[in-house]
Amino acid sequence: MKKPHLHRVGAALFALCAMAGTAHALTEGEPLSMVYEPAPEQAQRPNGPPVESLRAPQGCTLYLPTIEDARSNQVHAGHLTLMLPTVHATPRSVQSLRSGDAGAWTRDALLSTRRYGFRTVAGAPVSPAATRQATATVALRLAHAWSAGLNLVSHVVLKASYRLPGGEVATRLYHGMGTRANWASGNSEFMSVLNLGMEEAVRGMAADAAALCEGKPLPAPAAGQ
Amino acid sequence: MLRFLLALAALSAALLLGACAPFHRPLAAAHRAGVREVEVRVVVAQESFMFSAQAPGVSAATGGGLIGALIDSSVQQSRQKEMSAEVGAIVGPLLDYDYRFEAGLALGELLNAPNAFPLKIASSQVLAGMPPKAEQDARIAATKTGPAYLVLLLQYALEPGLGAFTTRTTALLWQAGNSEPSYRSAIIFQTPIGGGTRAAVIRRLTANDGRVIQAVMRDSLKQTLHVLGMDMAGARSGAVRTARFNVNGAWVTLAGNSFDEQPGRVVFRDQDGAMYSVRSTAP
Repeated sequence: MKKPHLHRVGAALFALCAMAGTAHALTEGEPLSMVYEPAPEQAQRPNGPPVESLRAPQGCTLYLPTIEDARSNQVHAGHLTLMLPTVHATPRSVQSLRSGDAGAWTRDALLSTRRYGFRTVAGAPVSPAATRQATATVALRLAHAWSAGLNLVSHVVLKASYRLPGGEVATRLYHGMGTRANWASGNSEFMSVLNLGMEEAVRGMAADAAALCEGKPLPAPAAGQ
Repeated sequence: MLRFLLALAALSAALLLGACAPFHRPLAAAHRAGVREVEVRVVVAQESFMFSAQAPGVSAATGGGLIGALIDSSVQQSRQKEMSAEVGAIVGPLLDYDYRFEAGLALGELLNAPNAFPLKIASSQVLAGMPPKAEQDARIAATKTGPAYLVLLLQYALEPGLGAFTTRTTALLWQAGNSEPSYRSAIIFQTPIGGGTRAAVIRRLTANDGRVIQAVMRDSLKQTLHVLGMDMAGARSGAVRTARFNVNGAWVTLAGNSFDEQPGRVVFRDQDGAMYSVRSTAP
């Protein structure tokens, strides 16, 4: 009776120690890959809740003449801070994650709007022949990931300046928040949670661009835009 | 096998005891006298105000374990999505206010004020990220012949419900080439900012080009450095004081021994030596 109990305790302790070891799996010396990989589009499940779909109007071209990395800190893209869950908690350890090329990451994320049916053109001048189109210069304002409890969380903000008919310029901020379970605090996990945040921000922008293509006015800015 | 398990148990017990050991390590008079100069680095690793769905506590309700943790994680995921618009409404207007910039101004003020800090400051800098381990180790080793090295790991936050602005800082001092810090402390600054709706709070913070939020940010580091300086100088604990403190959106009353008198603020140590600078007019 005693022996199996010891084994169970041993297994639990081993798991605890193994988890403590992997809690620092982040590789500080290696920048995040900044490779954009969109999650598969949500599909409707039998008897499941309806899935909100986003489709651009047919023949809609999204012109993105300029895409820039305008983050105030372009060196880092996240951090892992360990704090105990107490009232007087302060950071016990901090590790920062270096960022790869966030300009290319943003460009690839914006080009992925083709999945919604846009003809997306990046870095090229606007064609006067295009009738159904939306034009915006886009800046990445924030892309940061961190650990929160058992999860990794990210916040991505895109700033889009739309050129409206008549020459007027309207600006909108699009926020995306990603979250996923944190298994080992690995660089690839931080990258995938950043991708989730970016995908949500891009989707917000795509919804407004679709409205412009349909000839509708740009939706009013939400609070915080 | 048994020996292995016992060794593992001993190791875990040591780790657990280590985690429970008092965090506060006062600066001994001999160590203080040994510091001719100090280089100060304030590490602010975050880029904006960080919000995330609060842990729903399913894992605790189900008796813990991996399944509970996974349920927690998935519940948080859906709540995080719901929070996105709310976070955008808070963080969006505050994106242009840079804590590191304000911290740099506060550090500059400290350098220009004679005798504001008990140690002579050779240089100071606000860092946007933690230096990699190798660099940090080399920096600590260099204290053998060079100035001491004081690192402040600082995290700032708006409490849920926007009732208060809080900074939580760990201060670590290395000297004489020792890998163990000769001083270690926890410092918490909080000031209430609430009153009215979320939109009203954000408007108030960002009015006049963000004068209020910028002042609160500067004040947080000034207070943190002041409290740190008092503790390093060996300030003694006095009478017990209480203060209202916002934890995750709820106001609670904390008590501790006061060690500084400032108009409008309560400065005290709790039973574990963590130091607080809290506004005395909090709700």
